[in-house]
Amino acid sequence: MSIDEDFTECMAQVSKYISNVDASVVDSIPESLLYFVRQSGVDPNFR
Amino acid sequence: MCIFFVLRAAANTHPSFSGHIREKYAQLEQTWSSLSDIYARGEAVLADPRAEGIHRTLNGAIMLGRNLVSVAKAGTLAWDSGASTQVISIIQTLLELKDQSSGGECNFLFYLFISLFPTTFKQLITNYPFRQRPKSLIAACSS
Repeated sequence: MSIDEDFTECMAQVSKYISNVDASVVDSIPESLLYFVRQSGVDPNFR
Repeated sequence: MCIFFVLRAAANTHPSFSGHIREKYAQLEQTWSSLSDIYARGEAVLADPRAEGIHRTLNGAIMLGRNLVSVAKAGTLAWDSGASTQVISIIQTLLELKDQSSGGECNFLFYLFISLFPTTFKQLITNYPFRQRPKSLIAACSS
């Protein structure tokens, strides 16, 4: 799997997650987003 | 899939994710169109009580944009994609929510957005008609 595919999938996953309010009752975050946030240069342990 | 990312994030040494990764994604139109779409979807449900669980995910997407926007040419892409405009819209929504409640999540998001595209925010403040400035906006600027 290429990096671009990973990133595209991450964006799609986040978009889908945010769009589905009813299913997002748990305070969680897609792991792939955590990964890319960390790679972009910030501690992902944000609140 | 999740394990795949966790392991790679923990190792943080994947050869494809060296110093150029930030520049690479910041300069892709796809990145900013995706973030713009995510911001729009996030704003649409920001005031929905059921959306409390997605705040952290939205914060993550915002932080990603915040970290990427300072890369050369990324600012232009952010504007062209509508991501910057979306951020302004979200700021306005958050200001309204902040005036209505003292919710910690909204406060956090509000100050996070200020840190995102600070120049944009400064321009927004400068160009905002004085009589229409919400009190919370003035307070945020003076702090």
